[in-house]
Amino acid sequence: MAIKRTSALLGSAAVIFGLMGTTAMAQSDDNAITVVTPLAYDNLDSCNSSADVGVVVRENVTEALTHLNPETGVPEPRLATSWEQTGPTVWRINLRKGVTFSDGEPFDASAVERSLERMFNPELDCLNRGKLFANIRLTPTVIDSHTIDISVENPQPLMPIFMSFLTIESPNTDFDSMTNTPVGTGPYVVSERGVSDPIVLERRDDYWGETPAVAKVTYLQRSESALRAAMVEVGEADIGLNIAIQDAINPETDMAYLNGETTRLRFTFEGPLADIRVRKAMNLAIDREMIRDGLFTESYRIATQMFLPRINGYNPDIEPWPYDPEQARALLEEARADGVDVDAEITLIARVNFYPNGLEAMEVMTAMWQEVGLNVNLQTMERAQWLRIVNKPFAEPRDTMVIQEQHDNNSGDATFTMHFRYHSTGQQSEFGDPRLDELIDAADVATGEERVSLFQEANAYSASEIVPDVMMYHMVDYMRVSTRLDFTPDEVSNSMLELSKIEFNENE
Amino acid sequence: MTDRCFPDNGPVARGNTRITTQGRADFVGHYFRQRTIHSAISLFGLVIIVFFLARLTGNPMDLLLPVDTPQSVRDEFSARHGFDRPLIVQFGQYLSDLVRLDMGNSLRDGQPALEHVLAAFPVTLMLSFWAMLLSLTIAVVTGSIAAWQPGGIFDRIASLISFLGASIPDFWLAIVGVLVFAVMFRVLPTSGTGTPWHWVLPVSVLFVRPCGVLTQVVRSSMIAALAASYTKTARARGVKSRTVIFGHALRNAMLPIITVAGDQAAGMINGAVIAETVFGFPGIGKLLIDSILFRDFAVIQAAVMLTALAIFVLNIGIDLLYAILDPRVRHG
Repeated sequence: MAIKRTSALLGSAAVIFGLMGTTAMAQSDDNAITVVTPLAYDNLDSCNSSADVGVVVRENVTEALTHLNPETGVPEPRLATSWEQTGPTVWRINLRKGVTFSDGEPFDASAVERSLERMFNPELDCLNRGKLFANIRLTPTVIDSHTIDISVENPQPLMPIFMSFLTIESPNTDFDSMTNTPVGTGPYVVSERGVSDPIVLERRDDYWGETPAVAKVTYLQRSESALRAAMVEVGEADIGLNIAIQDAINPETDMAYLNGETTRLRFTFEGPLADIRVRKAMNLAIDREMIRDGLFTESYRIATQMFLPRINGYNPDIEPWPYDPEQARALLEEARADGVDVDAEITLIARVNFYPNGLEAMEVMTAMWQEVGLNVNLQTMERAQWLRIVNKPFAEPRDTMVIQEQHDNNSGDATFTMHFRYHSTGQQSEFGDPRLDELIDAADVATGEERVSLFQEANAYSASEIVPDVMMYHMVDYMRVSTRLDFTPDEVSNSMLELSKIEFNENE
Repeated sequence: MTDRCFPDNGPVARGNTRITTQGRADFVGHYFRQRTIHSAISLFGLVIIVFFLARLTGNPMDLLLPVDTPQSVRDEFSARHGFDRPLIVQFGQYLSDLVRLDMGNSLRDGQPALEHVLAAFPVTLMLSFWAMLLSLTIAVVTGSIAAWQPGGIFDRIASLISFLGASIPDFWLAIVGVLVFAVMFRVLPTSGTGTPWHWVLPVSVLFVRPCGVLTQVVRSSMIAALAASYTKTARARGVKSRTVIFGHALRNAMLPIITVAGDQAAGMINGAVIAETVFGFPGIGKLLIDSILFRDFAVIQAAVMLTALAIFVLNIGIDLLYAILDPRVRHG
């Protein structure tokens, strides 16, 4: 009797586990994919497309006038077919014909005008305005149904780049409030979106461009990297974003790519840090290769400036700082002999959870500086605390600090980095140097080769004559991509995951 | 922890005086009035604390806007949401809205904060319900059997496992659970919602610790009950072991078990943070964590308020359960 009962129980368990297995391993539709992300995208309004939500909406739901080539950073036609500068402050844009929004409204100049005016509507928390157009007011003038002029107060040579952030929404979009179901001209529509629901995009049948291979996309949020990796491994998801280094262990599916972020430590130019010899010594004391190999991976590139080589103004001739603790000690002794208090305390400000192994890197750097005789102490801060010390107006007196920073420039031009960080009026600049200001100001209004050359000169001058920071790395992210997909992430995948670039592997 | 006694200053007859039905009704009415007043005072205190402590952590605009946003834009955004006004003015506005049951809108998506909370709360309640049901059932059975022969082999194994259960970190258990059952054996989904199978891992992770704690409580409480003279008498009269354990001893051992179970349940309602975060369950714990990270004050306040209300209700329920189970409490 007991044996019969045991057998029955085991049999039932086998059936239950069998059913569970079937349920758990159920595959999704052939042309549907699931993307698992670490962040909850609470507001899909395309007015925020320069922020995290750009991964979902940019170029998938709403399209911009131009599109930046991820490899070259050069603006290419999208909703605008051509553009020209017709005056110092006026750009004429020719718009694509035969395009409709997913709600059936035609795409034309008046739709562009309305989208621009909506972005500048002070009633909206539009992050694109806050991030990109805080100091630039764009004024649209409709010329005809598919031609529009955009004018600015001051000459703006970067208009084609700015146009890559001008996402155009349907004229039916609410003008005075943000929307969670944006309607654009892109190849996908938001088909499901409610409080706490996953985001689902479905392919349009009437898209003006080439029909993408992916028919339906579901975005799920899981905060744990190990879980995101596991979901792709077992087939519950097809793409896992931001996989941590320790979870990226499958070379077949885990892809490393430069994520557009660059890390550095910023000097505050106070106490001993006001002396350039001390700043140089702090650079010479750091063994960047050892830190990279020990805490990060070979894919990280040692940085010499705050943006990647594809950005206008990158100077390939700037050499990374060598690791030379002897020279660092000599420079410190020289400064000490001239009366600089090189023994004064320097605080290294590290931000918690900034990037993987970031805090460990700060600990190693602190030890390296202590090794050459500097009095450096490490202090960690949560984001809100950290924000209070990185932006002007700075509290007086300013402490003697080295501050951990990370910056992304996916906008194609050096001005989005240089002005803010190195110009005397920059919100995060710690110093004022007339020569550097002059170079940045001249570059800002220049075009073409002259612009590139001026920014390169500014970068070289800053790196050799000012030494405002300890440059670290061009950072890398990992993405886990299912073998059923044919997709390779690029430098902009963290801010814009274009679904039309995803194909299916036929042999899977 | 809320005290589990009825107030001793109520209109309850004491000593040898018999309690009338009217007197008992008066007593219950008085009890609920007292508890409601106490709860309202506590809730108001909580509102003040949460409001001001949340704002001590910084301006949400600093987190909402990119690091590179100019100060002028930060100031403009702050002003639009009223964060530039003195704190006391903001608090006054919040109270005046609260009176009209307007808990404000989420900073992240502009939707009413209460809508977010009401969507998340049932998920947490369901998760907590199943986890507590499982915990209590397993703990009562295991603890009672272990107490029947203290020091025996079953008792030793049960004690070891319950100690382990009470000590294992939730987070570790969740990740290992995913790796073993979802990745290695592929018998359960890793996370999410949708089918009953999606509930297995979160409920399992959530029930382990309370089950460990409760098994210990049941065991010690039952050892005392089984050593009492009435159970010895029952045994001497040849009453079946099962009846002695579950019929006589358990009912008398229930009060400390309910006390601890109440605390564990309150902890779960407060947000099964780890289980919800790891498994992507859209419950109140996950909502709170996300809201705290983004300084979404309206949602934080609404979630805390609703959670506090639920815990007050739970405490009252537990007090009533005391009265049902123990005639000494029921009759004053």
